[in-house]
Amino acid sequence: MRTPKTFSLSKPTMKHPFTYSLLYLFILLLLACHSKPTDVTQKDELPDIYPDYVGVTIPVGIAPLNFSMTDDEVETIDVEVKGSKGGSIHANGSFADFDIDEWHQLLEENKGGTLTLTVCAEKDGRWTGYRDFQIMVSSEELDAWGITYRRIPPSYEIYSKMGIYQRDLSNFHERALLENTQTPNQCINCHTANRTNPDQYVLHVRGQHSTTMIHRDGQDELLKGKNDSLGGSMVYPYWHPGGRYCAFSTNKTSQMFHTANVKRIEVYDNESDVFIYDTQTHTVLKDTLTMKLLWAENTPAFSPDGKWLYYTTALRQLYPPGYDKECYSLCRVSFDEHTGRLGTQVDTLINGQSSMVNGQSSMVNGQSSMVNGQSSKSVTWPRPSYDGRYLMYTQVDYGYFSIWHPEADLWLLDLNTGETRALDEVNSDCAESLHSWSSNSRWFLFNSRRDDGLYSRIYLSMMGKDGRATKPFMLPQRNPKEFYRQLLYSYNTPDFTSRPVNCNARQIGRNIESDLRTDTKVEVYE
Amino acid sequence: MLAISVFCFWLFLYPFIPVVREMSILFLWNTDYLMERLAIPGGLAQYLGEGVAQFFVNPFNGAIIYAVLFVVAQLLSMKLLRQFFPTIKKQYQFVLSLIPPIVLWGLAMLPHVPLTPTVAVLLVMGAGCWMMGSTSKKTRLVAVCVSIPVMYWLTGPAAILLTLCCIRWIPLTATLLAACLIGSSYLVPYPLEQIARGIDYDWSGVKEMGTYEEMECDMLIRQKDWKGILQRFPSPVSPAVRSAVILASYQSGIINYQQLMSQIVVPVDRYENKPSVFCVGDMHFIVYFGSVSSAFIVSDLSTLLGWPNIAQRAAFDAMEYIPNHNKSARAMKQLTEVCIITGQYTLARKYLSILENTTFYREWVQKMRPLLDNPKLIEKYPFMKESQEKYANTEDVFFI
Repeated sequence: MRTPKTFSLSKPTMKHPFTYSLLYLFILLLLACHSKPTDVTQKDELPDIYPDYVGVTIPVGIAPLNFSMTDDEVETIDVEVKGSKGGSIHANGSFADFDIDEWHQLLEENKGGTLTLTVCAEKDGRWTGYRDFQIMVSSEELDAWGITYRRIPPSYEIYSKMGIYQRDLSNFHERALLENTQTPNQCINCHTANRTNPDQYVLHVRGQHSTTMIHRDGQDELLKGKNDSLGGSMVYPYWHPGGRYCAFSTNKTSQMFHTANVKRIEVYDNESDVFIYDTQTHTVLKDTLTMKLLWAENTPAFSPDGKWLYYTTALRQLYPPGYDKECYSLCRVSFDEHTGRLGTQVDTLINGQSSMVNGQSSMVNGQSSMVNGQSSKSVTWPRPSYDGRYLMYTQVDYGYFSIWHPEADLWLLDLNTGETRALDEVNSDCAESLHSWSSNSRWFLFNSRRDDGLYSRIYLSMMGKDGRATKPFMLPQRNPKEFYRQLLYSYNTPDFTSRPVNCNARQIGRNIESDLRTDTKVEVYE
Repeated sequence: MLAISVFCFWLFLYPFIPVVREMSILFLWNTDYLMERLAIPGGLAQYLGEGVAQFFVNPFNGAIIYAVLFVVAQLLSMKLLRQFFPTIKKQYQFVLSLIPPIVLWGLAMLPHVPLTPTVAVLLVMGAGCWMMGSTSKKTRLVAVCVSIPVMYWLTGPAAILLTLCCIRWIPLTATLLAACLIGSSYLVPYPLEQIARGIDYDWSGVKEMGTYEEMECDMLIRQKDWKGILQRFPSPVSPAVRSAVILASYQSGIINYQQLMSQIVVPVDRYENKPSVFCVGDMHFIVYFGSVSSAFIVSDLSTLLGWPNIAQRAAFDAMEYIPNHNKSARAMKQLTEVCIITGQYTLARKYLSILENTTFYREWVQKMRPLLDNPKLIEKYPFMKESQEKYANTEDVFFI
């Protein structure tokens, strides 16, 4: 009996190379070709796309807003983008994958205008057309080359791979600045630049070779990870605009876990204080005003003119019973950059709990109305806009570690009028926090867990001149649906960077491992 | 004979070691997973090692695969010995050829040594056999010089064995390998010391896979072999195993629910100095982490006790304990179950879409998907339904 000839792709012979070349070419062509919309059934509804880019406002220069239909069973998506001032581009495939150059050209052409997107989707061989939607192209510059952030998996007891990365916002290119594979078994965190300047930043390493690394004037200075005179580590930093000083909090952080609650974890401090580090004289400047015994001072931030230091403070509670009673107020104290000294009077801008401000001074501009209706809430992560107009903060029901609080929302304090309001335009039912401003204060980014409730993603929004924010859009990716689904890391402490950060990870890794540390002095002011 | 010995050894004496290797990987059939590994020296060996380790989901597979690997090692050794020392008697060649498989066998006993070095050595031995086939010494030297950088990138420092193919030229070939090592330290984010040791050759360090006791107990919990747990651990050492024995007593009907809770949850002061002690209300749950296996035990026990939040935390930490930063398919399955119990369906969908790219969890994914589209189908899964009800009616208290 003759054996029938079989045709196996897994065992190609080299007897017929031409045949196989043709076959592979045919397969490639098949993969490259997607069907075009025919017999389209129109639906009077907006397409359900991921990420939700319907009606968002974007800056010129942003990477293409590629997207997919949320329905996994959609085989092909066909998208036509037309600019209100001219030009059009087209994408057809399993997801809308726009050509980067064509996209940028279209955005340039339509600066200050709108893009209209016509979407058709093919499912089970049938095409459906949806109502057109718009994307607004802002005339406001982004004023940033890209962003920096940490990526970290959810963890509690121990940490695995993590790193600090930079991402070019005009495309999808991401580069690691420092990964903890370079410094094994250590935690890297809180990369913080001075007003998006990549030449001046600070980061921490926790673990066997712990350190706080300060990069300034082209030099890396490594401080001891734990400073005995502080009683702990340098934790949440914020640069003085002059570049000489950096404010830090020092926190003794603990965590406890809920057995049956939407909230999984409470992160709290047994102790925390705020102090200032003078990078020129290597001196830790402690002031009893921001290191009160029964109070937890935290999350410092300088005003853009450098004359004020904002921080949050709360009366410490006993844990676990008082876990939901620790409400942080937003305060500020004057700062003299010539002497490095804080002033003597603390202003309470937002009152976490009315009983907490007894004995402290009046509100900003004397407007006590600012705190009305805001009692029993907690303020965290104050971030003044660099133009000095606003201060954005996160409000939670209690505590300060907002990423684990689904109720965490962004709020905006108008520093001219003293009015504060929830940024409902950008908030969701999940946690929003860890926000940062672009250097021209026209754009801001923030973390949100709205995507799946656990993993933090980055969103960007524009702040209008009227103080209204535009609908935020998720950080673009080449194939966002696939990318974010597969990503088991959260984005953490994102910030804009005006230029690419130039750092030598190999050298930094060696410096960290070397344990050579700069000595610091301490000065205490009563 | 070698194959039978290896098979019996792994199946009857140490079945839990291959199982531990399986729960320390999340082998995905996608390009990103492959490229991520090929981007580092030794990446192909790691990829193939993990591809093999995914079959260890079942101890029987583990025993078979180890038997095959060690027999292949012996055959390759035999072939190399014939090429290197053709004049030695066959009996001696046979005895010498047993050395590499025995060394690899010893390495396999160490839980912190993954399959990567074993696969790397086999690949290099295979390449060595191919090169030794060349009759011209010059051709062989050229082949070795070309192969060293390539094999170094694919298999890691095991490529050093190739230098033996041209013994007279060892200074040259060893220098070439050293240049590859140093050069690669500028390309990948690892310290030179770790690159020289093999990036994925040795996991020893701060993180641990667990003690043999924890590994075996974890395997038995996975198999729901409660009687086995009671028989194997009459006097447990690890707190996690101690908790498992208490639960096994309950599952076997030896103690009732009240006794279970009073034994598994003990007053604060008895364990106050232990790290990571759980506290339920003002009571402590007597387990703590410290390794991949103990974290998995905690996760499993917590799921069975109806505390999905603790199970979720422990599953995340189990993954974080994996020394080479791998993720774990088993942990992800556990996380998916927790998400279904607690109603985090979007998150569950995310994990399922990842597990869909695995070999052995894909079928389970197909079963779970309809449940997300129609949560009422949970009726078909009595344990999950019961856990969901328990979770909804449990008073929220803290554990530390």
